Amino acid sequence: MEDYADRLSAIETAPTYWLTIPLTEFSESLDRWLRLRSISRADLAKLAGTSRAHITQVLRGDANLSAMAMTKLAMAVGAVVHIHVTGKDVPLRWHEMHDGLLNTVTYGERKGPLRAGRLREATGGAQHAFQ
Amino acid sequence: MLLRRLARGRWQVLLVATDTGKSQVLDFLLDGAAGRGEQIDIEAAGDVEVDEDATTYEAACTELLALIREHVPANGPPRSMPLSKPLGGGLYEFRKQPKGKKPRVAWFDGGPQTIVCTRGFSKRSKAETDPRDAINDSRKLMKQYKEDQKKGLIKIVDIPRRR
Repeated sequence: MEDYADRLSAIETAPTYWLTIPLTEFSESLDRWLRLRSISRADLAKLAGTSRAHITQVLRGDANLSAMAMTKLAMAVGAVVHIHVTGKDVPLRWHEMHDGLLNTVTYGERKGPLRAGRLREATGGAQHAFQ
Repeated sequence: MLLRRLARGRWQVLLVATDTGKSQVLDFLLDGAAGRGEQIDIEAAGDVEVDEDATTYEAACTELLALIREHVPANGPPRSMPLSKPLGGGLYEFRKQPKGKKPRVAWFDGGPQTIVCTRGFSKRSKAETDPRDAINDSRKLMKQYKEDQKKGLIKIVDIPRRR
């Protein structure tokens, strides 16, 4: 049976490989926020004082953004950026508090703008009273 | 049908494999990330020129592999542009858009919290359409997977992760 473990292990030494995680998470969470607030990509470009092409690149996870650049984009649409460090084998989930309820965040499973009534569904359908 | 499990989290990522356990998708991405993917095309074309976009293409293959192996198991697959594009009939493609050659991986939903990657392929330019043989192969593999799933003929072998 073909064993890919060595080749995969070798590719894990490339920072580019692990950089994909924060850049993809940023692009997915920014995209989610835009849909939640019904903000178009053109509006974001205007608010952030940048081009639509750059916004597309950001949402594709292709722009190697600094923490400052990420913060400026988030600020332009009334949001903030959170970063978390943990072991590479530790599964990570984000949760948000909305009206005293804990919402599990999911990405990429819905298209189009999100309305308030769809928040529960859009955030994974899992809501728990915060203790 | 033999499948290799590339990763398992909240979602699992399966790759279509040959009887010997070789995955075209994984070979495509690993060769591309190591800069070997371009040589195969050059040999086939009888061309010895160096591809100026090779580094960008290598990075894109590395990022695509990380997306499938690290991001999707934790978060599920992106289903809309720009990270993913529906190809119709339940087939999607993961995509990266570097300058020059652009790597793609075709995939479909293989059941609860499962995606199955069928074929890796590349496009020379933005304007070029997806290669018909890769898409047709992917549709055939999707059909075969669903038939084999009903008959209980799916065999999954893990690709071990080094600690």
